[in-house]
This record gives sequence, structure tokens and C-alpha cells, in this order.
Amino acid sequence: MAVIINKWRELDRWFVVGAGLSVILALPVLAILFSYSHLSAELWRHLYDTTLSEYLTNSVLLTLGVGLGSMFLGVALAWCVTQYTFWGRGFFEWALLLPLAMPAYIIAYTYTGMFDQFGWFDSRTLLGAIVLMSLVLYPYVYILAKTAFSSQQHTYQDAAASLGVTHARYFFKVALPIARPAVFTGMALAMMEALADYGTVAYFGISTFTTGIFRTWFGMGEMQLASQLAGALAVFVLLVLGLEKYSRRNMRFYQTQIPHQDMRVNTYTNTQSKPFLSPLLMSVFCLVVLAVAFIIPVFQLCIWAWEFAEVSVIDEYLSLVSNSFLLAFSTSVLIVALALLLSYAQRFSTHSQVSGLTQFAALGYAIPGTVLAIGVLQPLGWLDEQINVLWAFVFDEYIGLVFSGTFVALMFAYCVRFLSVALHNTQNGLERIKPNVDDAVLTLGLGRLRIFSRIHLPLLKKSILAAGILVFVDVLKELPATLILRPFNFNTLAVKAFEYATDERLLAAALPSVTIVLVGIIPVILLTRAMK
Amino acid sequence: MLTLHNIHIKIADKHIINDISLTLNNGEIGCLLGPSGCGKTTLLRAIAGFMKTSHGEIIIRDDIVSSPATHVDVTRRQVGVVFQDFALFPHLTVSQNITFGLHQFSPGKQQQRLEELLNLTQLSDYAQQYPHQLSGGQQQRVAIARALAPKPDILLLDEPFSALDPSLRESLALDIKALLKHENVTALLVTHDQTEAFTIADKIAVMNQGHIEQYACAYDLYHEPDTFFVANFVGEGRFIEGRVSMTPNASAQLHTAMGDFAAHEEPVLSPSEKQVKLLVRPDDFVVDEQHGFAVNVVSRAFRGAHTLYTFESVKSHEELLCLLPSHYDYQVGTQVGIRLELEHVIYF
Repeated sequence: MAVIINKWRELDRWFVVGAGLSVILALPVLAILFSYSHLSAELWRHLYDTTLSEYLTNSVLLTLGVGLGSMFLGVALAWCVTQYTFWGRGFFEWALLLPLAMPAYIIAYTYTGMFDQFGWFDSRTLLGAIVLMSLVLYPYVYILAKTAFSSQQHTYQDAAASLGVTHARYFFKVALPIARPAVFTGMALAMMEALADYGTVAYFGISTFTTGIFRTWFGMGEMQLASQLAGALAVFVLLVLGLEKYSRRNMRFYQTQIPHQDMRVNTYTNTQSKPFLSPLLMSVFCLVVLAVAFIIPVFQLCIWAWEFAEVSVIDEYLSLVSNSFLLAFSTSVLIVALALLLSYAQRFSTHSQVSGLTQFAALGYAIPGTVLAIGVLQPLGWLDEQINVLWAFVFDEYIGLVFSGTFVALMFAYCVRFLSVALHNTQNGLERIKPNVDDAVLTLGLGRLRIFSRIHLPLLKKSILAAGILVFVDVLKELPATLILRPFNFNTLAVKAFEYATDERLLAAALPSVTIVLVGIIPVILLTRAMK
Repeated sequence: MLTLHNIHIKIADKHIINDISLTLNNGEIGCLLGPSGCGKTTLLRAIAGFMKTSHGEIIIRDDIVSSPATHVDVTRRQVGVVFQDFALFPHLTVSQNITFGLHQFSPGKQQQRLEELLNLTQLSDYAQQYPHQLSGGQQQRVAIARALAPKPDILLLDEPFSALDPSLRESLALDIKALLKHENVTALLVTHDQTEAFTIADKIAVMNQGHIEQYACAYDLYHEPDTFFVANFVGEGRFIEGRVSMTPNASAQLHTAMGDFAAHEEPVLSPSEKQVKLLVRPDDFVVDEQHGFAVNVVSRAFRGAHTLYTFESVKSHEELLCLLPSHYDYQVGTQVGIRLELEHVIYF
């Protein structure tokens, strides 16, 4: 007995937590990997001869384009907002996050509808998709870069200035390199979103891996080949992830002090030297981005929704709203809790493998919703089968599906898909707290729970809120997995909006769409409040 | 090399610096010493060019860099600054940090200057390390090397030792002084720690509430303070009550409970008197059991060669600090006879 107790005490519980959660979350990914157990040379040859190269080129171009586009927008906007004083800066600082609330497929069909209406030009091209997706995905880079820029010590600027370095040179030599891990994380998130996008490319009729997978599965009925295509897609994601990790090696710069929140004027912009961008230009730049990415499409959607709104649709509409909101909220609470657990497992566990396992579990983010749905259904279906066998053995009756086709399946899919969004934030937040802070508190005789509530939680508050908000908005916008896994007769705003849009009923799609966008604004505002 | 003429600085209509003038000659190390909030860092930032002056002139070499009409930008002032937290760029190696300000030099010259500074600061073995891999003292040397690299005319140091282990401060300060003298750079440092100031500086400006109380060398500040503030702030000591009596055609006399001393006053036409406070330093006493004044031992602090006693005068109940060779061993509560031997009679 004593031996067992000792073993239990010696057991690295954080490793068990981390490894256990990671394995469960990795199940759908594993299911997809297992699909490679039967490779059909004939089917792959056919794919290779016909559409594979098109999928490949389009997906790579789309991903790179969106990565660069959102990096340019996110970094430039974050730099303006953190460094300069210009008209409307306080407003733009939070308002520039608003496009977070705008799903790519909604902005896509809104602009397409507008351009068709005015007959200007056709946005249904790869370039169009890159531009429109960058416009709504840049906040990932913006928010992380903004935090990185504003938490850099003032004295770096002072030091650079006293060494005769100009503001522009300071940006490229100091500010940007120090913010690089944050910028890359933001870019990685945007690029994964782009890789996983189904709604936009499907609406534009661009052949990418996601539409290819959909076509292979529903069109050709080759579910296994679709899974295998998804596996190939995962390789690209691994590449992006690998690059991001590689860029962060040796970059565990600990903040040696909490930066002063003093309102001291920027060293460079305080002096009489002219900023390399004029303040008016910055106001115009911020306004144009905000208008194009948010104000104009929302305005257009509101007009369409107004034209369409009738009393008869209100009931359906209200149930859509409550469904979506509850689902998104409960999922984000669950996911942030999971992300925290995993981050802590990584921090406290003495096993170095936990980090790798966690990364693997977070791969779910990159899996297109359609295929993730299959990846979720396979293990859950198997589990349902076993439960029924067992139940039938004991009680001699069948209880039917317990997990698949219920909210369990849907939320499981969300957890797999959106864990990495939360994980990026909690990990970055935790990394900023020096390990010797823990040791200091432990030696003060406080337990680990106290460390969390009194030291980490206040320091992590921003990271946790950022994680929660990003997940909330993501769940609200999520389309393909919800489309497949939702319980019977359960509709969300995103599902309805997309269904109407693909039927070219843009007026009907506008009401749920504008709601997704507007509901998405609330957490964005909460987020900006908490960040002050 | 550095001249300040009647500098005034206002921040949000609050006068932070009031009418400060001082001069540093080529190669001199100056120091702004004062309690926190006295404006010393503000003055340093104004000299560096981080903030503007509302009145007065700052002259570096022969150029006016700050005046109500002109403000030479910090990036063009060629003033080296060492920051309190060193502000080393965490993503750059020691070498890259040091050469950061040399972007206008040719690569060959950069390398030459780098090697020169690495040797001088004994950092050659750490050239490829990152700042977080270095000790505090090494980080400080990197910060100084980085500031010195472009050969600035003036080096400004903002509380350069406050982030370092106090036991190392004095020896580090001596190293830094040798380094600055070797480079023959004119330096101005800001500190609230007088030991640092005494160790490193040739001339010290004691600052209080935005103005300079006294600008002199360490010896003069300690032994011949100009103002009550300086006497109180610099060194240890206590004040005892005294009375100066002045009569025409005779030298003035200072009467205290501990004896009479020659006072230095201008000749007067009619007899007059005034109440003063006399500065007595801990090293102004000798033990004299027969002819001395009786004091009680209040507390004692053993310091190796010496013991610092706190006495209370039996007659006037005034508190005194007294540094005696440690072979005198008085217990708390006992009575001792001491005598004042003043070399500098300082009273206010």
C-alpha cells in the first residue's frame, strides 16, 4: 500500500494531465492519419493527373498571400497606433480589431454582391480572396504586435535615439525584431485560417485543398481520399507551425520589469524631428482599412437586412441568436480552461515531451472543418458503438447515439479546432512570467493554487481574455464543422447565413450575417476594455 | 565641454528645474547628487535631448544644443547615454549591441572600434553572448561600451549602479572611472548615493528641489558645505545649538554647550547676537575623560576599525554621532567624557 502511495506521489501529475488531454484532442488527427493505412494508387494518380497541382498552387498562394497581407496591415497599424499621436488614435486603437467579427465568407459575398450590383469588376479571383481574407484576418497580427510594441521598454527608444538612430531604423532594427515572435504567431494564426477556409473559396469557386476535399468527399464519395488530402494539407500547416517555432528559438526574452504605464511621450515623436509618416496620413490609413474591412460591408449588410426584415422571420432569427451565443460562450470557457491546463502541464511537467504532445494536439486548428468533422465522428462513433454493446450486454437494450450527432461531438470538434488559438495566448502569457517567480512564491509557503490565483491570474488576465474572445468569435463564425456536426434541427447564424448566400439569396443572408458581425463586436469591445 | 546657463524646465506648468548653471571641462567626471524627485534625472534627460528646456542654454563643445530658440534632436547630439536598466537590446549579441550606434562607420572601422571596446571592457570572451546570459556588472560594461562606441563628446549616466549588487558598486565604480579616464570622455552621472558620487566624480552638484545647492569636489562638500541642506545631506553628522556673539573690533565667538569656537563673521559696528546650528561630524570628537563633556551612550554600531556611537549630551540632551577607534569599548548606558575638536567650524 505504501508503495502505491509513494508511486502516486512521485507521479508527475502534470505530465498525466498534459499527455492525457493531448491524446484525446489528437484523436481526430490520428483518425485522419489512420486513413493512410489504405492508399489507393489509382485514385491518387487520377487526382495527380487532374486537379492536385491546382489545389496545391492555389492553397500555397492563398496562404502566403494572406500571411503577408495580414502581416503588412497588422504590423503597420499596430506601429502607428502605439507610436504616434494622430487624429482618432484612441478610437482606431480598438476599432481596428472590429474586422475580427467579420467572417471571411461574409465579407466575400458582401463585396461580390456589391460589385455585381454596380458592375465594377469581378472579385471572384484568387487575388480577391487574398485581399478580402487579409482584411479580416489582420487583427490576429495587429493585436499581438500592438501588445508587443507597447510592452517594449521606453529606454530602448531612448538608447537608440542617443546612438543617433532614426525612428525608421529603430523600427527595423529593434522594435520589429523584438516583436517578431508575436508577429509570427499572429501570421501563423492568419495563415492557418486561410488554409482552413472553406466558405470564401467555395463561394468564389477557387479550387484549393479544402474545396478539393469537399468535392472528393461529397462529389466523388471518396471519404478516405478526402481524409488523405486533409493529411497532405496538414503537412503545410506543420510547415507553418514549424517555421513559427523555429523563429522563436532563443527568443525566450523574459521581461525583466513590467514596463511603465506612464503616459510619457514617445522619445521620437516627442522631439521636433518629423515622423517619417505624417499624422494625417496615418489617420487616413487607419480609416481606410477600417472602412474597407468593416464599415462599408456592415453598412451594406444593414441595408440588405433592412430591406429583407419582416415579422415572420423574427422567431427563427431569435432562436438562431440564442443558439449561437450560448454555444460560443460555453465553448470558449471550456477551451480556455483546457488551454490553461495544457500550458501549465507544459510549464510544470518535468517531461520535455509534453510540449511536443501539446503542439500536436493544437494541430487541429489547421484541419479544415469538413475533415475535422469526420475525424471527430470516427472515434466518437466507435465509442458509441462500444457503449451500446456494453449497455446491451448489461441491460439488454440499445440507448442509441450518446456522443456523435450531439453537442458533445460539436464541442469536441470546436475544442480540437480552436484550442491552438487559446493555447498561443496562454503560452505566450505564461512564458512572460519568469519561472523563478513561481519558485519565489513556493518558498513563501504558498501552494500552487495560490500562485495561480494571486500571481499568475493577474498577470495572465490579458492573455486569458484575449484567448477567450478569439475563441468566442471563432466559434460564432465557424461554418463547415458546424454544418456537418450540428444536432438535428439545430441551426446557427453562420450555417443559415452561408446557406442563404450560396442560394444567392443575399438579402436573406444579410440578417444572420450582420448579427454574427454585431455580436462579434461585443467581445471585441470587452477585449479592448480589458487591455487598457 | 558642457555648459549649462540658467536652465529652467517646466513639465505641465510645474517647475522641475529652476535656474541651474554648471560647467564641466574636457575629461572631467561630474555628478548630480540629490534625493529622489530633486530633478536630477530630468536635467540629465534635457542634456541628452529627450526633453526641451523652457529657459536657458545647454552648450556642448561650442554649440548651443538647447535654448528656447533651438533644440538639436537627440539623434544628432552625439551624446552617449547609459540607462538605469542598461536598455540592452535583448535580441542582439554583445557585439551587435556595441556596434549598434556605428551604422555610419565602414564595416572595417566598426570591427576595429568593437575590438578596442571589448578589450577595454574585458568582454572579449562574451562577444557572441546575449545580454540575458551576462551578469549585471557585465551588462553595465556592455551598456557603457555601446554608449562610448561612437566616441561621443559627453557621456551621461543615469543611476548606473542602482541595478547592481551594492557590494560590487564601489569596485565597479572605480573600474568605470578608470575606463572613462582612459577614453578621456567628459561624463555626467546622476545618483542619489553619495558613496558612488565620491568614488567616481571629480565635481559634484548637490541638487535639491530643482536647483543646485553647491557644486564642488567631495572634500569641500563634506567639510565646507555652503548650505544647511548640503551639510545635512552629505555625510553623517548632527547639529547642535549655538549662539554667535559679535562685537566691534573683536573676532566673533560661537558659544555652544560643548565649548566656544572662533566664528567667521563680517566685522560689525555694534554688538549683536544670533542663534545658529553648528555642524558636528562623527570624526570631530576625541575622548577626554578629565576635561571633556559628559555624554551617555545611547547605541553603538561596531564597524571593524571604528565604532559609531550615538551619544546624548548630559547637559543639553542633544544627540551626537561619534566615530571612535574600536579599542574604545563603551557599553550602552555608560557615561563618557568627550571633547569637540573642530577643524572646520560650520554653522547655519
